[in-house]
Amino acid sequence: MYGWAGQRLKVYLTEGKIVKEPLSEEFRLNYLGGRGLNSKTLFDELKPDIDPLSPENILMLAVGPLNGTAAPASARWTITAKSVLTRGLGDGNGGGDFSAEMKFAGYDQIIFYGRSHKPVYLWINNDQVELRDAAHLWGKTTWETNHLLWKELGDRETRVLCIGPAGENLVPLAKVFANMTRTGGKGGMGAVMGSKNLKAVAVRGTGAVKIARPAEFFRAVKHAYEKLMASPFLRMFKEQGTLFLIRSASQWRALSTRNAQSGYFEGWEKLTSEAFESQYAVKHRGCFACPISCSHYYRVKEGPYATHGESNEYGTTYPFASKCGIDNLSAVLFMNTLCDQLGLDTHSCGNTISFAMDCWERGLLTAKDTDNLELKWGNVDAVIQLLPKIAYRQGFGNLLAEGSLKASKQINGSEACLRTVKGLEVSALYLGPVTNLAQALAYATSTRGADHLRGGVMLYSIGLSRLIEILGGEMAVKRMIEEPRSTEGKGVLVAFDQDFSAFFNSLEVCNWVVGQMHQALNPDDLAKLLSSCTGAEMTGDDLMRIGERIYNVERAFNIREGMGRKDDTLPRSFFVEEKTPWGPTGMSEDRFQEMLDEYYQFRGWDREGIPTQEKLKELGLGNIVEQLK
Amino acid sequence: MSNALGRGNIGEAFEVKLIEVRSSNCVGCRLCEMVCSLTREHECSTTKSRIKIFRDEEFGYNLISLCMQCADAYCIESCAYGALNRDSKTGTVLVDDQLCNGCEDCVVACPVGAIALDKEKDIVFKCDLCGGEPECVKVCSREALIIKDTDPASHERKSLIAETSKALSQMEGG
Repeated sequence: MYGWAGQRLKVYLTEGKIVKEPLSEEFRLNYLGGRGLNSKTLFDELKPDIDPLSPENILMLAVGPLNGTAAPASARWTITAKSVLTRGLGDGNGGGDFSAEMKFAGYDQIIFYGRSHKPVYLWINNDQVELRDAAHLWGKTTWETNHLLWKELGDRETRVLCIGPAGENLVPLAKVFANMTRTGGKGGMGAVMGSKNLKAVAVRGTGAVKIARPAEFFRAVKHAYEKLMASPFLRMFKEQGTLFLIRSASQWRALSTRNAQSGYFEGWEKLTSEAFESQYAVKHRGCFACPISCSHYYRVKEGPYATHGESNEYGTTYPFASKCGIDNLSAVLFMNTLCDQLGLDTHSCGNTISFAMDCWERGLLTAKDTDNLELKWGNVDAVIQLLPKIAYRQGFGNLLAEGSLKASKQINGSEACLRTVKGLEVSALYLGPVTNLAQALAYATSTRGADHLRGGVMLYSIGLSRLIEILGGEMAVKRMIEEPRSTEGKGVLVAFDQDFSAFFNSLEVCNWVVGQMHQALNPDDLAKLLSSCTGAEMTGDDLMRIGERIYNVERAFNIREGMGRKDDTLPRSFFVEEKTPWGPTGMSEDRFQEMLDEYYQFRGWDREGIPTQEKLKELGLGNIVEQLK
Repeated sequence: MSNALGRGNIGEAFEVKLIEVRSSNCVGCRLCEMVCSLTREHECSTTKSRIKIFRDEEFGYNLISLCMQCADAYCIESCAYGALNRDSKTGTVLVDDQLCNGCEDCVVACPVGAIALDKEKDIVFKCDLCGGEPECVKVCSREALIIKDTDPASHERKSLIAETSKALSQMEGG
């Protein structure tokens, strides 16, 4: 077997049984690995309408054929289950070098079924796999868990993926953590792991990933490497990391501020990558095989927020900073490390606290509701006190632990403060005046709830040459991209981008090294890497088709769970057309529905957003038609 | 270059192209390990790589373990079979696959942990600078690996080896 390890692990936690089975060609060639493999498995194996925290849910961890090879930035892994927050597809994608270790140990996917009767961890030492007692790890932070496992297993090169106290306490804002700080699993993957009494997966792998045509693969690697190094965008990104977005978003008036009431935060200059570099950054950190190495180690040497950690991203900074009205970067770094240790998602957690602050400012919450915490905009200490309260479900933290949608049901009149799609908090960008309407559509139709990484039209991807081909002319494409306020063509743009992300997430290549907008890798470059690595001949078009198949399977999963057109929508606040000094913002619901119609039509879905029989057959999914009726 | 050195150590000063490791620049991406094993073993594996990166997860103090082509090469001295020799032109220490019997004495002798046993072939492997064009250096985007003219017997080179050796033993000790 080339590229793929060719094997998956099925771990039956209730029975304490572990089964190894080959990864079939059907899965390899039609779903690649990672996200696609997990999504298809979820559709195939999960019974509809189960409780996400019951033993019936299944939790999957998967990597792709390029992980553990020299393919640049092939470092990601995907964790998938039915989401606690959306009750639809839930997954998350993380970095570090855990994925490579899992491949070297010989596995493409690990599936966890049932629930262990006591806390356990899975220890994978190449082909020896066992469930071990985790009583001594239960209650520990993610960092303590890493240190304890290194000591117990006697090898610092063992890679650990684990949950913190938040996951153990079934907090839907909990994620899973690899390499101490590399996280994935929005929508409560940490809580699902906790519900299974599974504390950690520890892996040591000393094997190899076999390469079908080594010389050709090496040429493809060199080509990809040189392309990435030549990109002016990536040269900037290599130094600044995702924090460059603070400056860009401020310029676009898209830095989500005070629960997305505005796209401009007056304290933004204290949060930029320049401010971070000059005061707190220690050095860069690269995920596996990534020449960009955008992440940083940081240290706040002294003061009330003294801390250290890694990977303070834009996605940590804006939710706790601008969104909560905070301009103290050292405090934000403190919160980031605290979230990493407690096992909390900085995105959903920061956004939920921002929601609560909005409620406070509108007088919907008072001190007697909040355990006397004054949730005024900018109250750093209140946020820091709330984080452990959320992770341990104490007092007011217990309400916020459920995420903003559920919390709003307990707070009278708070619906106007909600910023969620399908129950997941809107991430990354403020839907503001310069928001490309394509981005809004992508948030509304993402298969895991509001999400900037599935169809991140403003940020990356766009198979530009392909779009031009399909739409018959460069002008049409230019109009779609350059006229952000026009609804025309946005459905096509979004569908393309979603398919693109579906397949590169399944190859588990990082989203920052793909996309033509910043002259990075395109589907053809990835196809060359994949073909020479695995020996499975694929073109860029084949990969786009696989992406479409994956997206349709995910859609089908959500449809089977009862979702549909009614759920493809945006926070109410977006459907208010306003003129701001920087331009118009929002859009009418009618215009949004037009855009949705165009999107469904291009996708080959009916008016309710259900994939048609013809579309499913065309994608080789004819056998799932019955399940959508 | 002065005389042919055979299997012995370097006596007098001369300069050859060697890799300088700068662990403080290393970001721990391990692309060098992948490219090394891919080009030399035609598969991707950290255990088959001639260069090895130890990643510290909490603070990011990464360490690079790579043959320093020491002027006073303990590995050459340790080998009872004459399987390790210095190339007289490049100053590179090479393994003679025919003579190596896999005893691992050199693995123990190496101060920077840069020699490993290939368990399938039962012979050791180490960096040979890819014959002068090391691929790992070409894919190191943070200048943690640099190829430059170096006097292997110089004070700077010897202290780099001593520092690396100390850091590696500290890391292994916990």
